Amino acid sequence: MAEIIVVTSGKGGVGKTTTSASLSMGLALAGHKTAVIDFDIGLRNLDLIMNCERRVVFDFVNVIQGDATLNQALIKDKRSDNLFILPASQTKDKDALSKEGVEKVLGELTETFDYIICDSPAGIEQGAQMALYFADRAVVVTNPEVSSVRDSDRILGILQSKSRRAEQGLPPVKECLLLTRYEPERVEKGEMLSVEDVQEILAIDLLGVIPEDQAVLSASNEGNPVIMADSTPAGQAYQDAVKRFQGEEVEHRFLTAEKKGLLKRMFGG
Amino acid sequence: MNLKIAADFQSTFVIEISDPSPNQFAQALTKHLAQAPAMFEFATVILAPHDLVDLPDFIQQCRDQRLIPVGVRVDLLDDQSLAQQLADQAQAQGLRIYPPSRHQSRAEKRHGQTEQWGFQFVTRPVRSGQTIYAQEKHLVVMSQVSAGAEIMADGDIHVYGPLRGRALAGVRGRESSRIISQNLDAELLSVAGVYQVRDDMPQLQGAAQVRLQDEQLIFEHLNAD
Repeated sequence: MAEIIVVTSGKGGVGKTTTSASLSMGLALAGHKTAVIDFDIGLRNLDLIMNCERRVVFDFVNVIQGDATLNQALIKDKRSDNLFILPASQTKDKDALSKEGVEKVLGELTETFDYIICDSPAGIEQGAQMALYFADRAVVVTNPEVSSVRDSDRILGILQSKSRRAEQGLPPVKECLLLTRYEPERVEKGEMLSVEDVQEILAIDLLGVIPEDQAVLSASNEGNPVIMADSTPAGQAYQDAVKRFQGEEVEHRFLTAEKKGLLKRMFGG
Repeated sequence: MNLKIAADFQSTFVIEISDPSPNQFAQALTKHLAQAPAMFEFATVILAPHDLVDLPDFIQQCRDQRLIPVGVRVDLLDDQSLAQQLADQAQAQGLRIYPPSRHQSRAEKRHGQTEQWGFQFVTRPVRSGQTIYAQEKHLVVMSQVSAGAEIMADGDIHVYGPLRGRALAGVRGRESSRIISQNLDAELLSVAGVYQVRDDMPQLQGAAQVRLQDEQLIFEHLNAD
């Protein structure tokens, strides 16, 4: 029985697709059969971040409309046998996604996969609601910035009231926070919201804190989920987050500003 | 069967009746409708009499003229017992009573009735964009109320956590309503329609309450020492 996870935020550009790519890669590398689905119909990004944009033949909408089978549309990742990507349609609109169609596709995936990750589009309208509707767990991606926090709070309210679990009176969706683009130096100067500030407002469990890292942009451009960049802070933070996601207790890193010793200051850190 | 229900808004006319005589009503109604027959054709109407009337008769007269009565306003009557009779008639006819609140709170003001309202409990955080309305109850929120959320009650409001959104107590006129919170940090507060926005509120840290006194909101620390 698969767990359906939605990666959502409300606010755009905070790191949902980056997170979906790294989370799904991390789970696949840990041995779980994982599917990651792009729910952003019309603004398809996941295939670019995962480096499979040149292998897209059929997409999510094709499967829903019966033009292709799920097997024909799923793209197997070249880096892990456990990882499959279902890209979004670039040309159709989001009205092509119907609840029944999505339910059918998820139903088919649940039979053989351990984790199904739904990469949500930004916003709170139909696309985002469709992505979160069937979720068992939610990763709410937030930047330590006031409008992102407000929008995350909004999406939490929607998860509580408009998910299938809410509508059917089932145990609620398990929510957790992933704070991204964190800069401890700015937090210490008082320029940026701290983890504690954000948690005070959102009041949900903390999955992880991903530091601001230039490696994220490079990884995007290369088409390699940043979790694979072992030597980078962002990569390591994602690895920690994936472990916590599976229930392991891992201490949070990258929360305090690095104190540069004399040598580092002289020769660059 | 799949039903699809959506809100459809159209104008409803309020017919203010100053003379309780059915004959007078018939004449006046005919005259008015003749001025714009198309507009009133199957229009929904609310009857607002100044005196107790024979409601079934008035309703039938409306229907004879192809008007559709949907409600009755009872607050134009000064005599509370007559207003209650009118309300009872309206209920018997299956019509909505307008405004149910003002009718109650006027009674409350004049006769000092204390309502036997219960409590509505909310145990999860109230998130931005969510609205809670405790109708004919007091509201107790056992968690935080986020900025961008709106909580309302006919009675009092208690928040066992930070109150960062909008809170409106006594929304149907109950002036004795209070808003109490462990951490009053609201965007807007209102008691019985008298409101203040954040900018105009005094700086209060910690547990505090808001109440209405002489048409003004009073902010007080709890357990002031």
